[in-house]
Amino acid sequence: MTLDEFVGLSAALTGYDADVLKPSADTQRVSEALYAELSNPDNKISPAQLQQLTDTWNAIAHTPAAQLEDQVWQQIVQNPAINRLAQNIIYMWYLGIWYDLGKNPNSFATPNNDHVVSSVAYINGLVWGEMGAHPMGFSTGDYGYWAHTPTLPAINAVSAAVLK
Amino acid sequence: MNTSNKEYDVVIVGGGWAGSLLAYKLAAANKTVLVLESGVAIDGVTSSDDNDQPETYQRGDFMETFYLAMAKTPESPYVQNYNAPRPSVLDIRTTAEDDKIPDNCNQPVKSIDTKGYFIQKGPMPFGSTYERRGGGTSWHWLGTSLRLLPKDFKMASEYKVGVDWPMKYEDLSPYYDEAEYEIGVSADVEEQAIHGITFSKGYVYPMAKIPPTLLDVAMTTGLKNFHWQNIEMKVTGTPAGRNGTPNKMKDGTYYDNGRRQCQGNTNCTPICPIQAKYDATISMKKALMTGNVDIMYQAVAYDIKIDKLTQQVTGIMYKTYETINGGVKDTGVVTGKKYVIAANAIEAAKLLLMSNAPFGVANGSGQVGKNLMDHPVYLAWGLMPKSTFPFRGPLSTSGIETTRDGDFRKTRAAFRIEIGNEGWNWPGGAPYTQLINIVSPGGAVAHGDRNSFGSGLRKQIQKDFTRQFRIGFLMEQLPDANNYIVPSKKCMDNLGIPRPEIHYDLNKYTREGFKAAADAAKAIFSQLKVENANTPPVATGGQFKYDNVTYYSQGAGHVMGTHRMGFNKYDSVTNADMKSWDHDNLYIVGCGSFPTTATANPTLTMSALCFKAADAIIKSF
Ligand SMILES: Cc1cc2nc3c(=O)[nH]c(=O)nc-3n(C[C@H](O)[C@H](O)[C@H](O)COP(=O)(O)OP(=O)(O)OC[C@H]3O[C@@H](n4cnc5c(N)ncnc54)[C@H](O)[C@@H]3O)c2cc1C
Ligand code: SF4
Repeated sequence: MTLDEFVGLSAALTGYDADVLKPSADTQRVSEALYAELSNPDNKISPAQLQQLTDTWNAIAHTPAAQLEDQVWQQIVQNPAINRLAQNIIYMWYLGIWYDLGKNPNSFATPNNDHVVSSVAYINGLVWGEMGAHPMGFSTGDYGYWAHTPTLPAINAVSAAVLK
Repeated sequence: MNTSNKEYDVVIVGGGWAGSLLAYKLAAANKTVLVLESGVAIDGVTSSDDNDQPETYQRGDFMETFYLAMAKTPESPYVQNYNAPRPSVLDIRTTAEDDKIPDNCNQPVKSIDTKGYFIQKGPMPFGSTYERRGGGTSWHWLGTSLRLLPKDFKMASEYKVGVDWPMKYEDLSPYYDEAEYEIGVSADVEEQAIHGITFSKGYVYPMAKIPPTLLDVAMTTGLKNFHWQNIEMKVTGTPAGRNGTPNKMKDGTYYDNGRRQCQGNTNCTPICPIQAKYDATISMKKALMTGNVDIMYQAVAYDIKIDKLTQQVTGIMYKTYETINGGVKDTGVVTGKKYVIAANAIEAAKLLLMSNAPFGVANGSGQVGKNLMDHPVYLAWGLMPKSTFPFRGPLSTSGIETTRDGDFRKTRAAFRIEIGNEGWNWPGGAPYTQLINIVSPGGAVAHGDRNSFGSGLRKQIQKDFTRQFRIGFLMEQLPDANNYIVPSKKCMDNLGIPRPEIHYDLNKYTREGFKAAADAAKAIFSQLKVENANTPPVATGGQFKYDNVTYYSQGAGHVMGTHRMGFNKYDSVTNADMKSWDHDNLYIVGCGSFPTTATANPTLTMSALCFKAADAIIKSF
């Protein structure tokens, strides 16, 4: 899977446009940090599974925005051969965490290879902004901002394949 | 640092909260002070002649460790130090598990790794923790700085339970002023004047009240004029040791402590990234700047020497170490005219009991280590009918304090209700657990529904996560000789110093408090039209059954009672100046001094007591 393919697939899975996940002036380089986890040997990703996910994505990547999520639902999310890996891409973007593929992310069983990808990945986790908040321990707000209602980010149909 | 040829006026064991305040006040009165601190140094909080500090840490190091921690617990920014270990909320075990510790568990690194630091003898696990490094547990604290109520000082005479404090609210009031000034408390006098709390004429807090969050406002409106068991459930702002907007003080100048205003990082526990919240390194730094104070880090006190004839303390023995994983490097002794133990309630009691075998130090009453107390916390959480936007602002900005006193205290524990601004973070591992439950509810192979990804996922987060909220009930506990700590006979730390063995339970009085709390939560939730989460908390704490209902109890981090003050040498360890009844030149300070717990988070009161003790020490020279 190339970085562009990763960002496109990430857009479809997260619901954020690819140019939000990987802006042209990319100072944080979150996508690169998360993408690197796919080739992190500690994560024990089966090359065949990764290839299947890549192929499946490429086959639907150019679906028009309005139908893209239906395709992702049918081809990826419901496909037991690849969905666990896809879920991990969602977790990385929203939480900054890589969850051990061999275990249920809901369990706190040890030992396992759960880890926060990097402090940048934590700080840029999408879940915080989605709630109109900021990562715990990283606020750029001014004193008293919490007394005012936040604006939540707009949700539109994602066009994932915008990356060239 | 060369301390061997120097005799100090005062030697303080512990460079945490209490130790820093005392060092500062004593040094300002021109007393020379040596502080022994078991943990590692904080960058910039060292003695001037000390440029070879083995290990120093900065706030930035802690932040990075915190960001990378999977479980963002109170301990998560701070690495474990096996030479001066501390408990962690992740290793609060049941008694059954701890009983399996073999008699020869003299391999402390290993046993701490797998079993935690405390030896929990139960029947309930003790759920609270503390920190051992420069600044102590002030690195963990949330910032809540409430005064006690006048009646909190006389539980025995008012309600025929517990004991009275050897002082009245009025005796402590000027010291509260002093403590609020040093900590830099933001609050509103009028709002705090409840249940008989009075302030001196024209008193203002150093800073104005912190603005309430959207959740606070929703609760204030929703609970307006609402009564539960004849108590008005009035929401008020919580005094906080974090920087708000400076007030004009009595002398006409604006309060200024040189630190930044709170930015609402929602991270007060476990660490404020910008030091908008007070921590003890602030006072220690000021103490060091007087030139009258030396601090020795990585020096663990393990024996208090007593002269058999005069019963005076003659020195403190300590062990040093090179790295946090290595073992003993050196041992030494330090001497002074007066001595202060400020090592946190559990470590202080442990040190007193380890010394002067077989009776211990300051233990003529037999009360050292006894009456271990906390504010066991009952959590209730659910979804508000409308978004109230958690994870914004300080962790807690308001609470309900009207439940803190009443005739019911004859039979059941009182409580205060803290309103949490971090959604289901504490009870439900939010936002992690909820996100996982949407994406893959069944675990490894299963998947969520059509809305478990993409726009559907985003909509659920926006709709549901923004409605999360929780309240916490901080429960009163009575002094009880069956709740106690002793140095373990078989389990040591890396330096060969005994680990704390804890015996702990919640008695009927506190359990009745839990029952009342559950009832109050139900009433509040129904009034606010809250959807109750109805699941057990993910946080490890204690669990007990009472009247056929299972309750979960969490530690508050408020360790109290282990060297209580009292009226005479038979019922207590120290007098009202925190001077040992048995040893004329020994003072023991910290929340261990509390005869009863009341319901307020204890550290403001503890700070006031420290200033009172400091006055007594200064006068005694
Ligand atoms: C998660 C959490 C949240 C909290 N929030 C609040 C709050 O909102 N409001 C509130 O009022 N309180 C709060 N507290 C409680 C508060 O942190 C403590 O009451 C306070 O820090 C106690 O001060 P102390 O000086 O007695 O102990 P500490 O601050 O723990 O300092 C003790 C020091 O002694 C040192 N020491 C220990 N043993 C030895 C030894 N043998 N030799 C030498 N040095 C030694 C330690 O390294 C440490 O530095 C909270 C606590 C926790 C854990
Ligand atoms: S809300 Fe943030 S800035 Fe304010 S005290 Fe807490 S951690 Fe510090």
